[in-house]
Amino acid sequence: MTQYAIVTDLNRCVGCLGCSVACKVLNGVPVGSYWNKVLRVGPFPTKEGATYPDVYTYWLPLQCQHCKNPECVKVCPTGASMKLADGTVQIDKSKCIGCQFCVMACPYGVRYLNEDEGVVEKCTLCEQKLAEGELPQCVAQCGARARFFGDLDEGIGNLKGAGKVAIGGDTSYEATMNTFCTLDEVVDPYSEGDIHHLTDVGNGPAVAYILRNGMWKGQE
Amino acid sequence: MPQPSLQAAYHPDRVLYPMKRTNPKDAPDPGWVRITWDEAYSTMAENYQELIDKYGGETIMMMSGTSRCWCMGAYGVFPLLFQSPNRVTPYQVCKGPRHFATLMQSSYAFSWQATVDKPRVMVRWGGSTEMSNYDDSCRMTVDSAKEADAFITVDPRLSNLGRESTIWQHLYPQTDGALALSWIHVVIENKLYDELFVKRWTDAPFLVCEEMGPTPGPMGAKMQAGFFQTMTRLVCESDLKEDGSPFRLMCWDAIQNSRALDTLVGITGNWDTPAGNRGGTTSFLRTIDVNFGGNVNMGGMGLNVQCVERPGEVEYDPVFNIKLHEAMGRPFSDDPKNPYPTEEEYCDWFVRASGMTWKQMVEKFQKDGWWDCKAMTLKSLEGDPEGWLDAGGTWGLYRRYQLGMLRPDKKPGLTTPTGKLEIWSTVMETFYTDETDPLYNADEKYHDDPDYAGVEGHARDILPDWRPAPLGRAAAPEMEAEYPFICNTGRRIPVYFHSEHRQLPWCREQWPVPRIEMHPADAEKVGVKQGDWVWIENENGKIRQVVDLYEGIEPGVVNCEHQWWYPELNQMGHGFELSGVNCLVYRDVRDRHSASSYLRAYPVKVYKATPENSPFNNPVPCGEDGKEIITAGNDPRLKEWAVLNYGEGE
Repeated sequence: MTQYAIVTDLNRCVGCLGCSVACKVLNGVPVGSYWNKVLRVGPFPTKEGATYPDVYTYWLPLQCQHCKNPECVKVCPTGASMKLADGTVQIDKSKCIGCQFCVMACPYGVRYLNEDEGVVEKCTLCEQKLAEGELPQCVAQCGARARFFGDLDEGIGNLKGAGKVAIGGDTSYEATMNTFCTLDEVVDPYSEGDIHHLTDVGNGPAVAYILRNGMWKGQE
Repeated sequence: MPQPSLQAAYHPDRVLYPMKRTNPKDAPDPGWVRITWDEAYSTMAENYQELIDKYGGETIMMMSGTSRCWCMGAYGVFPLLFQSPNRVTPYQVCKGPRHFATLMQSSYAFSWQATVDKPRVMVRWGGSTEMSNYDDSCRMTVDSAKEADAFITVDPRLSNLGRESTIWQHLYPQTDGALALSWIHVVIENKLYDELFVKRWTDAPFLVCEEMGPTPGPMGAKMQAGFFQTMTRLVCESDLKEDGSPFRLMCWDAIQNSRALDTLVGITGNWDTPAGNRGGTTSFLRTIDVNFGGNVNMGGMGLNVQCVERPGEVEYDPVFNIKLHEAMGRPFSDDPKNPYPTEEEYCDWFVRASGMTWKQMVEKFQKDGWWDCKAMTLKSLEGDPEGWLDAGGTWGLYRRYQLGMLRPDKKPGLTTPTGKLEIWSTVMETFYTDETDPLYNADEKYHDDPDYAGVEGHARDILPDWRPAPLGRAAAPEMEAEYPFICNTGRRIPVYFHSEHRQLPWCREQWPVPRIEMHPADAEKVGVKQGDWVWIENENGKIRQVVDLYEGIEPGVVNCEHQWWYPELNQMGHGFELSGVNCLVYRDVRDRHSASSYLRAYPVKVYKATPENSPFNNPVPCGEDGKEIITAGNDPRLKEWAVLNYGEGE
């Protein structure tokens, strides 16, 4: 079974907000609404009672987690919110009646009502780009190359990131857009214990984060 | 942040046609009316000429924006056009001091680091290139830091990438020079320096003879300054032998901050080496053409190609410059047969060394993508890999001082008068001796002033040195009671580039208001919390920003964002005085070599903005009409700005 998702290496993410802006440019998200926000976590003490300079911080890009058992799909009265075969959670706007049950059911607050259209919107993982063999825009435009996209069933290490690692070679536009690196080629070594998810209340968030050295502040 | 450029290009407030004010400058309504470009150029030419005739060209002051191929007139052609040296450019506080310092001490702009070569030890001194710049600077910075064996950050605050450092040297503001000199000291004491480089390519081995007065030293060929005679106490052969050469030096043995760093780079053997600091490397486009051609410093060369139609009657900046020259009757080009080239001719001229026209180059670029500078030769652009050295390309070549590639006279060496990395600067020595330093001579008080003169009474700064900042706690302790915080400025905001983009909805909604970083303990002391508007005040004025509690900054130090203005305020100046931190800058405290403003570490007080102490009884900054600025992403004014205008209206 396929489960598309995004994994972000939080030791590489520098909070440039590029993912959040890129998403809006590509998807026409209304001003003041977001499919993807970047939260600052910290700075917090690195050990009990510590203060400056023994502090650390990280950034958390937050979007639809494309859950394995999505609450939003369960509560949707019209079947507009649905789980697709590729593992993504999508909204059929023609079926959405704007009741916002899903907005309330989502544990992560990543859905909103588009008041002009009267329908709920959220991250689609840029399905229009996936259909062209490209990456979601937030992955393609990630400044620090911290974000990687792909099928979790193929292993996190094989998720794809923007561009290639080597310098030189084919620099044409086509090659630039369609040549990808893998997560394992780019990021520092990590263990299973370094892979984190937002709090799971039975919905099974698919989106994951890598943060090393026990600095994760979330409750899983 | 290039992505919202769409909103910049087609912003509804963008001026699309030449406009003329019809009411006096102090009138509430300027009475703008649309005019033709012809009228605009002739009006400008007439009025500029009138001012020049009446007061001289120096009466005209020019300003330019930062590193782009537009609004660059004040860097290039305008000083010549107006015959005025009076220009204000970001270069004076940006790369300029580093470039000037290395120009004096080693070679021009050798402050650049070849990150593309992947340094084993990556040192990042201040700055936040992971989010302060455009192009690929974020990815290049993160890649370099992550791939290095050691990543060292020098910064008073925990920075976005600095938190991942192997070593974070959290120094107190304005002590950078002291740290650099201490680092040099450790390197010397532990014999960690590159002995061959130090002996052969720095002036460290030359004895400075205290008993001798300055004698005529080597002639220096300096960029921009032309030739001049140095006066140095470095012992020359001519000091020892009657027919000795003044060009042969004999014996053994900030601007200043930048000089200290340049020295550190040099003595550790990282000067013009792979992954070291190596200054501009060129393809056939020279460094000064970069803004025109694209980015050649990263090892690839692209072209700045127009990719959307210009809306309205917007003109390409170089064309504007050419036409203004024409209107003023001053030739733009040095070709008497074609003093006013067209846009196409101008572009062709820039790429003439390629043997191609601009149009041909653009076609090739769009087909094949970026050129690899290391592989690129002039002839290789046409398929022939030979002969590129003749064309001046220096990519892929290191230690160019050994090859005679840095100096105008083509001799081995750096571009200093002695050809060495001058830790003892003959340029400083020449221009700031007791005899020649105008300030030193102006008043005897300077002779005994340790902040000004050296310990021997000679003018300071011949060696890279450090002394406490003039407004710091050590130099001005009396200010602490009134102004208990040391204010750093210039906190970078990832969605903006300096003062730009506050009018772009995709940027502003992410970061609607200016923020001041403050340690929670300090915030508690002054009784403010996250999200409060506060006044930041010193002798020069007061501004407001919003408190951002940040444990990554030392108590007693605050960090303000720079260059805020509010395009939503329909008034002269767009409210820059409400929050622009440079309004607090001391105008009379400057670097005495480059005149850079003292932009960091000045004493301020911080207190809560309340209805009682704020104009319009509103802690939120307001325009002259009392209307609040945009403070949140859902402000309807942002939605209005998001409606793009492709050329309608004025």
